[in-house]
Amino acid sequence: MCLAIPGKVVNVEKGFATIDYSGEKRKASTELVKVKPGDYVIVQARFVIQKIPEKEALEAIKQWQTSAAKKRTKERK
Amino acid sequence: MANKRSKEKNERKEIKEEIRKARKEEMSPERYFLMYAYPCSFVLVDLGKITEAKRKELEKKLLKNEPISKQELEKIFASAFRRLKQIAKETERDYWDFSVLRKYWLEEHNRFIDSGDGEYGRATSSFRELCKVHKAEVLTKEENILTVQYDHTKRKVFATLVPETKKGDKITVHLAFAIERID
Repeated sequence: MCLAIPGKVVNVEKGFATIDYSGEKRKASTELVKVKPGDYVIVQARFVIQKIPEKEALEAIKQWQTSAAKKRTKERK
Repeated sequence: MANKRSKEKNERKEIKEEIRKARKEEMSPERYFLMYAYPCSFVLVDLGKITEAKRKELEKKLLKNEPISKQELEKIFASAFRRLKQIAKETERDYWDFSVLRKYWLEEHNRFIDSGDGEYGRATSSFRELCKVHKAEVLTKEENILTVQYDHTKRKVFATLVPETKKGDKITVHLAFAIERID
């Protein structure tokens, strides 16, 4: 399944955005989509490809964390 | 006179169509499938379902026109094949048949998303729209980046898979990539 995980833009500098994924930070080019700090975005191949409304992004992050936690519990068993 | 011209025009159109078909048929079904699934391979890496090395290996095979394993694609993109098998059964064809692959990516894929099939059931509208295959028109091309338009959406996507694309072409778009030229 190809549902991507959104992250939050914390900084934009020289065509690159620093994006926070629940603590882990990654950089992505803003050549395709212009963004500003606070935006929630989807990244593909190290490029920001889409802005996502905050409400939807938070919902998706929550779902992803829940399913990741479930997976971990399953693996421990 | 006008009739003759229109007849000639039709004949030219038919020839063009034949050439286009022949080109498509030269392509293996594995390659056709992977063109559309290629944007998803990045997401699978983010989700920890495949390694970056595996993604790069698939990318190399796709871009360098090397043979691609059907078995491997079926394993990596399992949910797509579950749906392809469903379509194949309904149309009484093999699920690797071009017509089934084409029907899936150009029609049924979006319908599956809208119906909330599998994990799409929990996806909100922005995610659904992003995951859909869109038929778009190329507005501008700057090196590897195309500005495309469909409905009321204007977006920038990569021309990696269709480097010969130019302004005015009709193409399909999946996630951040232009996939193929269409009529």
